[in-house]
Amino acid sequence: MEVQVTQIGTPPLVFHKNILLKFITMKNGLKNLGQATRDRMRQTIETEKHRKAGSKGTLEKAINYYVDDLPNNYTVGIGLVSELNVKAPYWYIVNYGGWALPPGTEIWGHFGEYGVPDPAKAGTGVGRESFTIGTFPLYKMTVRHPIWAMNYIEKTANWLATVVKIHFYGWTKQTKISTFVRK
Amino acid sequence: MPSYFRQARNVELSLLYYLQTNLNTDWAGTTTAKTFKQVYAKDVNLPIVCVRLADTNSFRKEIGSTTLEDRYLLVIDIFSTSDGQRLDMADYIKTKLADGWVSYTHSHPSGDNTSLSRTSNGRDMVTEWINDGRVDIGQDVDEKDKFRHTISIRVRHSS
Repeated sequence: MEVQVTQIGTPPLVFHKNILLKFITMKNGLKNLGQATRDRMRQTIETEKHRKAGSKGTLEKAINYYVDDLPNNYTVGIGLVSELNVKAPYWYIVNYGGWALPPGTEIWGHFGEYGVPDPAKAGTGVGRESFTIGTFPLYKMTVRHPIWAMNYIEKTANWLATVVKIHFYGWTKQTKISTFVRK
Repeated sequence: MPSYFRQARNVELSLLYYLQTNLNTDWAGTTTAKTFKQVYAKDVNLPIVCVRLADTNSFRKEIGSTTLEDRYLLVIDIFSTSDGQRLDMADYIKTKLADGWVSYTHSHPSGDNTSLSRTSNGRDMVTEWINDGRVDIGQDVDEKDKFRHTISIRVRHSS
């Protein structure tokens, strides 16, 4: 007597490999989304910065994306606080606004290349050139206005919430994707 | 002939009016403002609540449709007199926002920007809570920056 066992359908091992492949595809998609989110944040800062003339883009360059690939968790993060605190420590006040220095504080530095603010570039009483502290030639500046809030983190989260809802909602119902600002 | 404001402006002013009305009743002495310039003016005292429309994101309502669905990013900055007040005020405002609020269409007579009229036009509601936390600039800061809080929300208008 002979018994023949025939497996019908996808073998478990092949099924497992298909799942892994889909996860790899999804991980690549999330990584691409991370890059796009980083670019969006940089673009927001570039577009909305107050002093464009002479700016070196230090804050934009300090914002990068980071991947944590753990067994049960795949995370893509934008901006590392420890890195920002070293490379662009003003990242916080540029986002939330406020007095960087108390009003009336006197500081020494220069605008633009080497001088006082160019009156031709003046906005509503505020020059538009970048300001360098403590390098010659030195001119006395008096702090009169607070830093205005750019909210680039919140604006990027707003954009991401729109993008994710449009493109991912259909096939990520089983996966939790949330946008939040982590301090 | 009145000059009507567009939707983005109406959403911002509707939230400002809603919070102003509630704060005047429940938290007397609170100033509401629309810009940081107003907040940091010397003649404005704490506590202050600043409401700003920071951003708008749009997407098509349906495939092939030209109608846009807008999501407004509104930022509420709280400037308090103490850390306790900061926490209480933030919690109070979140409670008020949770159920949505009446949206108005604002207008003023042509050539007259001193008077503002408002007509009820649907409701605005929070679709996402993006940020809710303390703003900590440091120790040696201006009086108005000592006890700050920020709440960022995504808002949808429904007519």
